[in-house]
Amino acid sequence: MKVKLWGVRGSLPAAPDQSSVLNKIKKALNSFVDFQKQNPEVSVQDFLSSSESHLRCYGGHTSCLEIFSDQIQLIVDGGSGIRPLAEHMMLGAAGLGRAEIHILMTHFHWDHLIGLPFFTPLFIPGNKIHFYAVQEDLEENIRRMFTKPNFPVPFEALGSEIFFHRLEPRRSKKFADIEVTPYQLDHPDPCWGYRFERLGRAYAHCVDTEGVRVSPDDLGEDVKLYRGVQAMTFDAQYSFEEAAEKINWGHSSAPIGLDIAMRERIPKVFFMHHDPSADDEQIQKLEAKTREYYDKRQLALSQSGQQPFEVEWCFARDGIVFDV
Amino acid sequence: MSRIHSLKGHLDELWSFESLAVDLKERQDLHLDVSGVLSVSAGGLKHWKAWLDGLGRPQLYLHFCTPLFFEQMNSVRGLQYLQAIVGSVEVHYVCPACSTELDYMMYRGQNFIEGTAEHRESLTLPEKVSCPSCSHPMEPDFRGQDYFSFLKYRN
Repeated sequence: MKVKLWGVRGSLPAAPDQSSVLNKIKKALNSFVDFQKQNPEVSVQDFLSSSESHLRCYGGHTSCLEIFSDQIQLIVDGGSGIRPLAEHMMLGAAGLGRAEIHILMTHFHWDHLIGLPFFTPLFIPGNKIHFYAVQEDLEENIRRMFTKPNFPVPFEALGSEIFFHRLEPRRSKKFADIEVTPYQLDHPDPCWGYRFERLGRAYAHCVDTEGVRVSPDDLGEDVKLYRGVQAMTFDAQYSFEEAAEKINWGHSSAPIGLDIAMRERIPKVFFMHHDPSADDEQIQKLEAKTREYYDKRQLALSQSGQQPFEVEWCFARDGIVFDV
Repeated sequence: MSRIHSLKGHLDELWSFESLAVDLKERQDLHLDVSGVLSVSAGGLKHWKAWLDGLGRPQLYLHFCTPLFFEQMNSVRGLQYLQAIVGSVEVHYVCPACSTELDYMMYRGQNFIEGTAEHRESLTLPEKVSCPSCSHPMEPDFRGQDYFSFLKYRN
């Protein structure tokens, strides 16, 4: 099973402006000059390979991800990241009107919906599009995206055949060789995370969540979302101290995700739902601060004779792909 | 000052604050000895804060803070998060001549006072700490520039 993150930004798409691009270029060029002084024979490619952090772009598309195996493709949410996914899909069966597409919705905040009117396969006759959610008002929320004056094409005019399916909370549903189970997250409007399992390996998508419930007792039945998984995506819109001030905003911080990962022995974590007001440099700083937290916690645990569980983690970028 | 309760071990989301059996009277401050704390997690801080909320948000005083405790708290601004007042803090000294190490306890009001709306923060390190082994003047080792950053917090 593989996962591709098509949109990792939270709340609102965030495109870089000219000044942030120019700043990035300026930093890279200055750094190249320094680098060249020490290594006169260096090629541009060598420099770029060694200076990835100067040029890092996390991306600006809102929530959308793709989980796929040889047998099935599943999409989670229809944020603006679903538009580049649509372009990719249009090169295959979806472009010919022969695709059967499955879209699982976590909830209906704008950042998880705004890409849907630009999901081209919806317009192609012959495609079958299935929407799934735990929430009863799934159909109403999807239909509303295609209403005037917000969007010129009414739902009824979409060329594809569209189906709506309600998922049972905490009850698994099989999609070919992938089993999907929804668990509740901590969000002001009900939001459901998903656990994906295939051949004894599992991945948990835990976005959007405030991470109010951390201990197994507090999580109750929803602790199963995190148990025995090999990879997790977690909400890290804020720093720990920012999240502490934004009570009931529905978003968490990376240290909380790392606490859960270390306790539940989740080896790989990708943090996403980056704050739209944070530029690449600010996200990088937050990532570095998280690294400090993680390193200090690992050190403190090992100094006290414990063997802390090591987690491989990063702040995700649009387009990242990982194996589960 | 009311009774000091001891926090020990790994303060994470599983730590049982109820085991402290704190029984505060109205508007009474809460004093905790944190010298036995081995680690503090972000989830533990949330859990700690929820417990304080349940007690009616008493003013929290932390005593005998160790460098290890501070390192962990400062990585997530934990002292600010709990709105805690530091009562005493251990400063690590090292002898540059013979490498002898010494932990020196500094007290609020005596060695430092945090800033408030009324007064600025102040810090007075002991003028001279002599090495117990060779009498050479020892040097403080704050293990990071954030060590006394808590003094700037305005409660």
